[in-house]
Amino acid sequence: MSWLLCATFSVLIAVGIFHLLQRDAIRLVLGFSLLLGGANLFLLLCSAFFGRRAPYVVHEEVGGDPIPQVLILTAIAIGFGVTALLVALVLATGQQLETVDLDEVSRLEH
Amino acid sequence: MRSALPILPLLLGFGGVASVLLLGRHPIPLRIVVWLFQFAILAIVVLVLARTWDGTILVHRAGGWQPPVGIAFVADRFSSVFGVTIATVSTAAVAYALLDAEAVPRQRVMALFFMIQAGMYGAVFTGDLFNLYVFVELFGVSSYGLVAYRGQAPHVEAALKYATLSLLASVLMLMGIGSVYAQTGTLTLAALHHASVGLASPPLYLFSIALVLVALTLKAALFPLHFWLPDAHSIAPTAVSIVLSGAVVKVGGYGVLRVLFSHDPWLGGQVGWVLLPLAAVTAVGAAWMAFGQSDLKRFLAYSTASQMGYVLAGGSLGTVAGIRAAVVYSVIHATTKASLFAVAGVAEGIYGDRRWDRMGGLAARSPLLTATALVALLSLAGIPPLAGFSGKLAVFAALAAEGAWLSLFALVVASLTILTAAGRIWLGMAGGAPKGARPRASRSKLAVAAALVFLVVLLGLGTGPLIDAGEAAAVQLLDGRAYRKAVLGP
Repeated sequence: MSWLLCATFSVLIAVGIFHLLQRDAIRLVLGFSLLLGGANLFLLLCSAFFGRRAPYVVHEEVGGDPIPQVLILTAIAIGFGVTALLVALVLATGQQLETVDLDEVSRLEH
Repeated sequence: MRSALPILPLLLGFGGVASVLLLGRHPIPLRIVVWLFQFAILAIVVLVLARTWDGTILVHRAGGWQPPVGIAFVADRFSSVFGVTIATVSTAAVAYALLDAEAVPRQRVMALFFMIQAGMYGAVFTGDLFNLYVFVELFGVSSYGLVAYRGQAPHVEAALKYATLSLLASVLMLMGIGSVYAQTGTLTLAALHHASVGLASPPLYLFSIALVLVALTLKAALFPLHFWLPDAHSIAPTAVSIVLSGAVVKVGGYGVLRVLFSHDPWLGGQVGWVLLPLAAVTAVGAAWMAFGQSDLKRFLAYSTASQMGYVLAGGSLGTVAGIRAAVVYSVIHATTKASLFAVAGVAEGIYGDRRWDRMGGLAARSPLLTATALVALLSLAGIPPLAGFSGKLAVFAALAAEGAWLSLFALVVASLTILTAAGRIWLGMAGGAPKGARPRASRSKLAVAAALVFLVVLLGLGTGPLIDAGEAAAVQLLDGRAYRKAVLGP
């Protein structure tokens, strides 16, 4: 079913990038979460397309590769942390500037 | 050689975070804990440098697992030089933060300082590509916190820009790592050398590595991913600027070089064609932007971006002379820029303003600060016999040896621009008569700045040994056989 995963991956990345390009900082956070989901799916695709069974010690036949799944677990944990931090930053922006419109947030001199 | 040393700075960093949060509620215990851990870290990285000086490579296998499954922590000459640089700059930043009224709530700020250090030592000493990503995220997350903790509008805005861009780049890095793994079946840096020969599709592999390099060059502020830096580095409190401009951008540069030259030379050659022009454009463009700044810290921030162009221009050549120049320039720029940010912080304390054109009469107010600023700015501009000169000369010589005349010309123009800007700023600050009553320069903070400038002068006097160390590090990095043998076993 790897074509289904590929299609899901593409949709996640496309929708994620679309949201990142909006002016609203909350949609930026949402877009970023979608991108992270897409990246995790990509890591799974890197291992799953060999069509092997799940990496499980009990099976006698050769299982799939466990390393991408370890990477995904780590990436999920990191993604959760950084998303929470991004939400906190957007929240602080909203409280300080009373707007989450990124064009209005950009006030620093250049 | 098996040794736990490469992982110790990382563990001490985490230990520092935990101990500061547990014991640091009151000022005196906080200071004791902070200095205990900071000196322990400094001592360990100096010991690592001393042990790797003769070419020994120290390897720690985390959990006892053998690569390619297990994760190795490796210290060779290249990583230990960067480790010592980071630890020195961080010690100065920690000393400054303990004196700085801006660095409150002090306990949490100190915890973040140890967290960012843990991330940097992890990134420098890791021998695994995915682990590099984890530690890049770790020091990234700590740096957004350090930029934003004061919670006022400009801080939050700078941190939001910085965080959004870095996080986007690290998603790309994650996908790049997945793709590298799918093609080579390993993430151990030492194993990538053999795996990168005879690939099914070299262009696809090049694309995967490009995704990884996007995140690392963003940390190193390479054009076109540099525009977060002037905001974050100038808005951050001074102690944070010291560590960001002195150490964090260097880890980005280190990561680029480590990933590139862990591979077979064909990869470095291919990527160098793109990296060299970008580095030259960064050097010139950021120097030009720096020239127009009236905000002292913003000038320093743009010049950091410009100087990283020198480091990566040297590194992208892939020759011993080029990498030697990158190492030497990183060390020199780290100390010079750290001292300049400390000077800017003291001056800001006197005038309550970061604009250098409003700092007239500094020579009459504080001769020592003016002299410190002069030495540091001259080193930044590359005037002999100060350290900055030999760093720039090393980069120019490496470019000339490869016949990269256009990039050499760009870098010379950038140097002249920074020289003019630095001269203008110093004359603007020092000259004129002091007007009105102002607070005196903070003596203790000035001592931090002066100590860093003393280091710059020492580096200028000891250029010979520094260049020898850079050369040894470059030879070991490019050869790579000893590194692979130490990590993977015979």
